[in-house]
Amino acid sequence: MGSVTRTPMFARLGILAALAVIAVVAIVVVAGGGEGSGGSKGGATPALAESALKGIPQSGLTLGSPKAPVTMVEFADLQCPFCAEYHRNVFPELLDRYVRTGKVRLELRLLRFLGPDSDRLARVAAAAAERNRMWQFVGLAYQRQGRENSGYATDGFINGLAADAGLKQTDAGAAAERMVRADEQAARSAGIESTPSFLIGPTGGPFTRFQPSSLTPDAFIPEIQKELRG
Amino acid sequence: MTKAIAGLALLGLAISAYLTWVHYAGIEPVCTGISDCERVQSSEYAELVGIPVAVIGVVGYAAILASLRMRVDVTALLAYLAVAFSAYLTWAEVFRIEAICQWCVASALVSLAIAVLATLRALGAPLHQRALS
Repeated sequence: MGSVTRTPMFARLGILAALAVIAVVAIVVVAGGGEGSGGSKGGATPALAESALKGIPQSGLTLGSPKAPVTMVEFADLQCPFCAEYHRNVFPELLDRYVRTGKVRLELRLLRFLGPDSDRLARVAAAAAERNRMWQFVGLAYQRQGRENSGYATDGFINGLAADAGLKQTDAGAAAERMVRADEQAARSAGIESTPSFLIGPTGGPFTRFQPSSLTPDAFIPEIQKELRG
Repeated sequence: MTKAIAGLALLGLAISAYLTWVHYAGIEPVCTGISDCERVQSSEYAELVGIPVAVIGVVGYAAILASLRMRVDVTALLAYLAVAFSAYLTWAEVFRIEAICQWCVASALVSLAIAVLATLRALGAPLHQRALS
């Protein structure tokens, strides 16, 4: 008698196991289609922003290993052309040389003193930081930066950035506003009045201001090396 | 057997709840030297359709606990779902993120253990319980 009922249960469990596998595969394929499978995100630019940061830990405003001995803090405005120049000319080199290797952690604090477009960009970037995708968002924002205060950062423009940065929503709510205010407070306490401005120091602080002579890797590397030597 | 599954489900629930808390508080999980939890937790695989996988874990383990009062094969089905999902996440950790998070591995092992016990429980359940279907 036992074997009569044992077989159906055995078979049923097998069917359930198969169903479970099929269900999870289906969910993952359907849900992950937009973000998990890399290439499907469309357009070369987002993929570029994604691949440059691939495998580097990101948490809130910071990029790089939390155990990195040195932290460099950048104050920037997403509308500022010199900030875009830094991001284009210096950031990739620092990323490969120091961040990927776990020596330096970067922290980005976004200000919004140039105009209303800066404000919106900074708040959505802060919302992206809450989801640990701020650096993707910022990279794309610089790549597509328009003329300062030309009103280029429309809702459509920002939503496009956010979508390409892998963000599902662009809810720049009260938490995002608090983050930007905290950044502004940090800028005030450090006496920052222009962007891009940089602080450097051991991770955890204290940080000191450093003013590169130009926006080229050569102006940053000696300062970072000095800090790494302690 | 049911008690053992309940204990394991509670353990899984605790792990998932911890990771959920860490996710929303924006802090780094406690991590051993060989793993890189932050990298895993900040990766795109940490969420599925906008839901943190830790939350999915909480719901899953809670459902397994609740199912212990239902038909034995319900628990088995939920446990198989948990194993399949954990297998996907482990695959993502190893081959995509290239970092391991010990909390995720622990949860995967817990779900595997639950699946084994739930299978044995379903096969060994008293006849009247199995005949319910």
